[in-house]
Amino acid sequence: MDDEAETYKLWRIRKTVLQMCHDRGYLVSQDELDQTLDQFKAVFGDKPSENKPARSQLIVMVAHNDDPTDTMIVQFPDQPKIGVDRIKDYFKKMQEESIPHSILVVQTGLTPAARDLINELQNKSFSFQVFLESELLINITEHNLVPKHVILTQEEKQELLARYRLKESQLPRIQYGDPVARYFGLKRGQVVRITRTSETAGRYITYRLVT
Amino acid sequence: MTSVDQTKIDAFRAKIEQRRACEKKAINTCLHLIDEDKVDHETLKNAAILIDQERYRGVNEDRALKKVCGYPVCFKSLPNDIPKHQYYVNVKVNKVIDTTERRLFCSTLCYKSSKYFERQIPTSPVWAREEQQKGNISFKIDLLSNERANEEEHDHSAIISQFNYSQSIPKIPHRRESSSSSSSSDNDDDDDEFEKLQIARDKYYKSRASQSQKPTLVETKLKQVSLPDYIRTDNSTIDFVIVCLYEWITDKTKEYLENNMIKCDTQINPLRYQQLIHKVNIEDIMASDASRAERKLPTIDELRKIKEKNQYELKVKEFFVGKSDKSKEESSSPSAIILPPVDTYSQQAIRLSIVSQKIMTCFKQMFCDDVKQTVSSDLRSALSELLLTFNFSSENVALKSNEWTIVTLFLIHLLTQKLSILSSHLNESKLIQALLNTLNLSSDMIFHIVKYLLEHPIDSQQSSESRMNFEDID
Repeated sequence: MDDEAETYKLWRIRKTVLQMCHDRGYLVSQDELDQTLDQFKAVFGDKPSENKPARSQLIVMVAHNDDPTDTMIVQFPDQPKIGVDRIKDYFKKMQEESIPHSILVVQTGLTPAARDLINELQNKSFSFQVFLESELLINITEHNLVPKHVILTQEEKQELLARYRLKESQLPRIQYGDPVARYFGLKRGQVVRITRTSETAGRYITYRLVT
Repeated sequence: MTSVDQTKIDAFRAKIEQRRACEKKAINTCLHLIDEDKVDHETLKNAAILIDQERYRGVNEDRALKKVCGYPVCFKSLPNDIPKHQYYVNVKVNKVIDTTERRLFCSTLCYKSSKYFERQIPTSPVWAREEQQKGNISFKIDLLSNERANEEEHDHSAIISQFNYSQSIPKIPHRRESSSSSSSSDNDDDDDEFEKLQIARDKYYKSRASQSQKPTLVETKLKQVSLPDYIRTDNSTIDFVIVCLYEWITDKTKEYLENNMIKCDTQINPLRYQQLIHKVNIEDIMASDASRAERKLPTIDELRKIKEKNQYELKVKEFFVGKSDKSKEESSSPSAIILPPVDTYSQQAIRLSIVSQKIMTCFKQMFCDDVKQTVSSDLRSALSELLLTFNFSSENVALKSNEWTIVTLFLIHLLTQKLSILSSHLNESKLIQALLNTLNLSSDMIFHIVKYLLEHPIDSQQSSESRMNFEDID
């Protein structure tokens, strides 16, 4: 792949990542969100083949709007395939610097053992998400067929259940691995409010429980 | 009721727990295999029961990412000069081979051993294995040892190709009984179809070789005819060729070589020929029309009777066998298999076609480039005429390709008696000289042999035999 295309790709990926952080409620400056390709080139360089920029330089570190200790790190490994060792390193880093959330953007994927290891090491205090580069080339939530998803807080969820006199299991569901659920980094038990246009009702609101 | 439900739920929960524990064990085993640079044989063997094939492949990959050979027993680091391209073209077997997996290992030996191990890992899910083991099916895993694999290491490309073949044939682990027996059968197990084919072919050739030792019988015959020593060569193949040639040569050959014309059918006088034709004609008529011509036509009553009888028979048959498609039967019956003709003439024709085809290909190769067109065309026509004068038997037309080459060489020398231009060419042609050199022969020697063969023909038994057959007709 030539440098031009590669740079463009990296710019798109980073842009989507930043939007994703923003949508999850992390603090991302408006400048970065609006960064054009030229600005990107000026900051990082335009020769990915000569490691300008190397993927690891694209690293993003953001803090949450409400809780400054709730930080998230987005890493771009240089290797196309990620093995167990790298995953261990990442978890170590997360523990040392007490970063509770981490996103890994890989080029071709993980080894089976690495995937197993992530499932093992993930717990309440550490979340670790993996995306493929190709998944982040476009922001799926901007697609016109994807309705607006809003995550409910714990109180809102309780209110909803009380309002309709529902048990949790009576809500419609959304899968944990659903692309939108992954975009928002949803956890099991959370509820999203989906607002979509309807020909008959104008606007239709529905809820989904992440399972 | 509720207590029954409760126990059911508990049992189910226990099952889930057990599955989860097994999966966890598998993960830990994998991590262990990845983390340790060198795992001893015992650990690897034990690990086979705890993990599945998919995970093992993952282990290979992970180790390779660590720049360590993918085979857990091996501790070498991967070489730096691994070919980057994904495919490798094997010219030998005309195959494009995916090298993705091979690149994870330091050497072909490791790749081979790893694959050998992988194919022994049970295919059942990890959590189902405990029950299986209770059922007395024990897994015996053995590893490819160094010295055994070393024998096969020399030809890298072949091994790569073999392995890619054998990947498509996953092995059932239960088939191996004990390590001792499997070590002896190791060769067969690891061979793919390709190698098996090769072995079979070799065997066939060996048997063929022993078969062609049958000409020892002919050679003894040669001795009886007192073949002088100077004609014998130390090479048995050449001897065999000489014997074949000796059998082929007939009086006609000699005549052909001495005179310029082939005197064909000289022995048969025209009167006799007419007689024979007449006889054949009559036989033809007899065979085809005998029934119709000689029998009287049946009367209508008889016909009707026959018809009724046939119908009755058909009914009975239908009762026992069930209705059969009559039209189908009718259509199939006339298309009887056409058997190849077996009389001496057609046999001779078939053999001639075999021999001439072989000889002509050899001839073309020998005279491919450096001969004037006129000479080679002359030679070709002469050669085909010469072949016409030969007498072939079933045993002396089945030669190997190298033998055909030698035969062609002899025939060309034979033809120099007729075409004198050839002899100069024989001395010039580098190809022929090289051939003679490799065979330890010289043109003079061949001339000598050929001359001997012509002067001392085997008493022309076979030709008389053929004439006998000819006579049989009347």
